[in-house]
Amino acid sequence: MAISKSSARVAVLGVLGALAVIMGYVEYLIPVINTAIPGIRFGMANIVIVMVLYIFSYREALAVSVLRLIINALLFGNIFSILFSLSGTVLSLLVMCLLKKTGLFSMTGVSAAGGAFHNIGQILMAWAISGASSVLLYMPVLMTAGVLTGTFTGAAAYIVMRKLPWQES
Amino acid sequence: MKHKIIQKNDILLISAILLAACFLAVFFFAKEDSTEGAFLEITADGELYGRYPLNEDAVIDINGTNVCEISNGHVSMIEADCADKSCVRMKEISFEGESIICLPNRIVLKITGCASAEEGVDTVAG
Repeated sequence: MAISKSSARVAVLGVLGALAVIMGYVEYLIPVINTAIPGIRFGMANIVIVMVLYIFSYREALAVSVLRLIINALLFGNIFSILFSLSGTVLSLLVMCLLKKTGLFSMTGVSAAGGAFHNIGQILMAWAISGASSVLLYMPVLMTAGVLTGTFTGAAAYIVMRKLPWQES
Repeated sequence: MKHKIIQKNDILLISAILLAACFLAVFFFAKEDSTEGAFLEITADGELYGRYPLNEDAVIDINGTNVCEISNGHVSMIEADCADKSCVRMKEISFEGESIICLPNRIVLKITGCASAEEGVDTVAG
């Protein structure tokens, strides 16, 4: 079934938004992922974002991820990190949306590219803020990490989506 | 659902991004090699005489009047045909901006930084 009623949309988006926030928190609780290499995170919230992108569309996914960022930054992080997360999220969603539109890739592939571009967006923002081109040296490492975590989150999103009654939009 | 959990296209896409990351890494490290470390810049009579990487040991003869040496990233003047030899007595230099000057022969040995001045001693770790 597709979600057509606006009340159902609001409810489902609310639930998924809350899930995204919690995913961000769960990630903070797993120290190994956060401390191994600075700047590398598993991106569990991406599982939910990819699902929203597929159940709804780019607009809803953007809304959920921006809200999630603000709430997470206020609850667990700091305001300054919003700038980095925001640039990563917007670029990542843009790329995921375009790749999804081609119809060539599954959720796993779309999410893998999204993971890579999330980190690329963050590095570009760091470059813009600091003006030090040396931050670009992190690019290969972070791109690789982004692809790997994105692959896993995409596969996880696929598995969850298969169990849900809602169709891809 | 239209797609499987992972298919050929996805693997191609993932490989392409990983490959791009590898290319970037190679590109950055190649660039790093050519710009990393400082250079010894020799000026004679106000004109650039030569640029030598500090990471290669060398003994350089300058116009037949002076001889300087690069050893382990440190530069010193080892010979001069002038009377006072003050350049030979100077402490060896290794940091960006340091210099050894031989006034009688108008020779300046100066350490210059990597690609840009901002990446010198005072660089903030990115």
